[in-house]
Amino acid sequence: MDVRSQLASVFHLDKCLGCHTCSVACKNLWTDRTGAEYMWWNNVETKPGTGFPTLWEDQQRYRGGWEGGNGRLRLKSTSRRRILTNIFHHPHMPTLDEYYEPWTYDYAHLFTAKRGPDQPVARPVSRITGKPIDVESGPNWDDDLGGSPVYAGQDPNLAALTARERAELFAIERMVFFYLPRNCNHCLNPACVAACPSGALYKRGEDGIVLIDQQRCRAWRACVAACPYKKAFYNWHSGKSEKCIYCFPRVENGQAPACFHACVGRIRYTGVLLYDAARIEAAARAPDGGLAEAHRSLILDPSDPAVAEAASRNGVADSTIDAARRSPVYRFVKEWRMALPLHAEFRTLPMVFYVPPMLPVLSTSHDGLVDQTPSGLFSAIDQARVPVKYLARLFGAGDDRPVRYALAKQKAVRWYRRARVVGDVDDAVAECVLTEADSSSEEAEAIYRLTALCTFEERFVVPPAHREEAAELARDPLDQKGGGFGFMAPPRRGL
Amino acid sequence: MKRPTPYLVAVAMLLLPAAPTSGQDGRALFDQHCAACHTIGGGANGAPDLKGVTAQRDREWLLKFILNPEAVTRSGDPRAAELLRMYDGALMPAPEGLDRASILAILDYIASRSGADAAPAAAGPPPTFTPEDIARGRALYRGDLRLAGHGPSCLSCHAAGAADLLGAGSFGPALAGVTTRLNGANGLSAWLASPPTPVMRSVYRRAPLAADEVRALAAFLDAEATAAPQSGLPRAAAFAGLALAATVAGFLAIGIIWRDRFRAVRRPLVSMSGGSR
Repeated sequence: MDVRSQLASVFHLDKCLGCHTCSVACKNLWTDRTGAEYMWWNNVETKPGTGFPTLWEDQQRYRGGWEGGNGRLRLKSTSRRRILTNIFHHPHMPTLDEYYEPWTYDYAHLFTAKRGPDQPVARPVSRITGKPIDVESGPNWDDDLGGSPVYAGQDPNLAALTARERAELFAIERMVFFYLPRNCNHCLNPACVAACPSGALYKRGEDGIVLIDQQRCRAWRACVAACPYKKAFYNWHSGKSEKCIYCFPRVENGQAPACFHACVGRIRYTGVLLYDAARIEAAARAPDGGLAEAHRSLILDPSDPAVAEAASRNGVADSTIDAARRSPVYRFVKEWRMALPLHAEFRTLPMVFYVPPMLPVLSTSHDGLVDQTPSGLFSAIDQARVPVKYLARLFGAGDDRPVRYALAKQKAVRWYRRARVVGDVDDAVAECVLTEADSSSEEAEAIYRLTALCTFEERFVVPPAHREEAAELARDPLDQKGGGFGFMAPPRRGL
Repeated sequence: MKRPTPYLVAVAMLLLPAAPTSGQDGRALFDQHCAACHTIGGGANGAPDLKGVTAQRDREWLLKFILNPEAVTRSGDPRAAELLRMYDGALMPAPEGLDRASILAILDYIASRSGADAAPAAAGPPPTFTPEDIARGRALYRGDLRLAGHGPSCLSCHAAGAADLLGAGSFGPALAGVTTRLNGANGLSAWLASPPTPVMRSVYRRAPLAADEVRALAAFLDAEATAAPQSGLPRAAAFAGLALAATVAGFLAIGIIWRDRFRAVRRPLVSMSGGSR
């Protein structure tokens, strides 16, 4: 058992209202620079939709992540041999058009235009070339199902559905969508780190944040191609790649990352997970159906004395172990099994977990009116407006069982609360639904509290940074060493 | 650096009577040493026709020149310079194994054959070559076999036609029909054994060809000359065609190796769905 700690996240999709506040907070803080205009370290996508960059989930085109459910685990984008053959050009690099050409508006024209019969307008101007452009796409161009036949209709995850199910999904007045906020997953088996020829990417030991060393980066852009979530970006101005840094300067000061902090719907949770690093490779190799389960099995119970002892032996600080015991992420992912990794089939073992969305997925309507009875509001999962098969493609690596489990538990909590607050559900029925969903009234109460009434401190359990240890690493011990005889001379190198 | 020997010989020659020296078979010596390039009344063909040369030039000069053509030419002798110009810089090699007496015997022989009624001297019988000789010559020409003296293979500078690789040189003259230019295989052999042109002389002075190599190369070049002429395209056109074909093949290979490379995603998506943007 090789116990390490990771600052992981849960995004509760049932609470996401698609306001993009997280994206804007991140943009203002980190990527409002020359060369980074097109980057959205955090973005919010509408599902069904093709996302940012367009069709990023289609690894037939982008070649991100790992392959090999049995036997060897290998990168889809590169290998020792292919580094040589692709040395001048990586054949699977997205172009700017797949992201979008960032633009601003010629606001000055509004003030400097000559007097004329028409109102002056501010034309869009490219932030890359500085020339006027016709805006063709943006980072959330298909927001709220905008341009559905073009974008939403091409969602790769719809491949799981039959033609009839697709037609129903896009029928007028039945159309449904939900939001998917995305940032770097800070994976346990990061493809970007594995692909970098310069060794510029690394996963921080103390909290598992994946970073790009800006001194070492040599602009191979292998990380851009290798990341299946397309969350490594190339800065055309600095000539280095960049990615989400999990706001480590904030985290080291005990604050949640800016996107978490700014979240209006309070959908984001962050906390420490202890995991067994010795079994990472085995978990990443698990067969497709069992990936979500294998991933979850890596996460260890911080209350288990053996785990805590092994963590201490590995240098995990006691304060971090203590934070792991209070981690909301641990409860959602491991204890309640409600949060699932996004596209586990990429085999990078992502450490952002999503609680699948329930509403308006489960509501039913008659003659245009939503059925307000409990059985109408929280109907059978199989009748969900977004088919479970679609959600299984996103959150279960194709396996619908973990998704059904998570949805059933959410539904049971709703029934339980309906019985407690509104009273139009019989307590015995609610109890029965809870049992069917592998839950209990105590658990339902805890889920309800952490979902609906959660405070700042409950959502964000960030452990102290222990910067004193980092300072020790950075300091040359010889600087402090006194005593002895004669002069201290550094070893001479070369001839 | 000038060597004193030719001058000493020339001075000695002045003192000697101009009597023919007997005891030396002038004809045999001529056939052995000179007939490769020269004729007596057979016409100038890569080397001067020697008919009447003994009457045109004094013996002293001839002796001096034959003993060391290079030294005489480099001394700025106007007649030698004239010869050099006439034969495009090809300098007569110094004959090996000829002493003064032998040269005088040869000159006597030439004088005896220079009469108005004398028939041209018959060239030696052309050598017969086996297919093995030709094959070996081809290998030596192309550099498949290394020359014993470690000299560069012929292909480096010359093109010979059918046996050329892509990189046959164009620095030296093309070797097609070289045997006709140089008085047949015998003439070519003599030429190769001691190359007279400034470039080849300087290249092969330190890396002389062995006798069997000379024979093999002569066999190969003779066979090339008598073979049916190539009816193909001119060299430049063939090269351009080959380059074009290789370029197309290269692009095809790139297209096949990287056939599943990333192509535009969003634009095709939009145009495929019939959207305007």
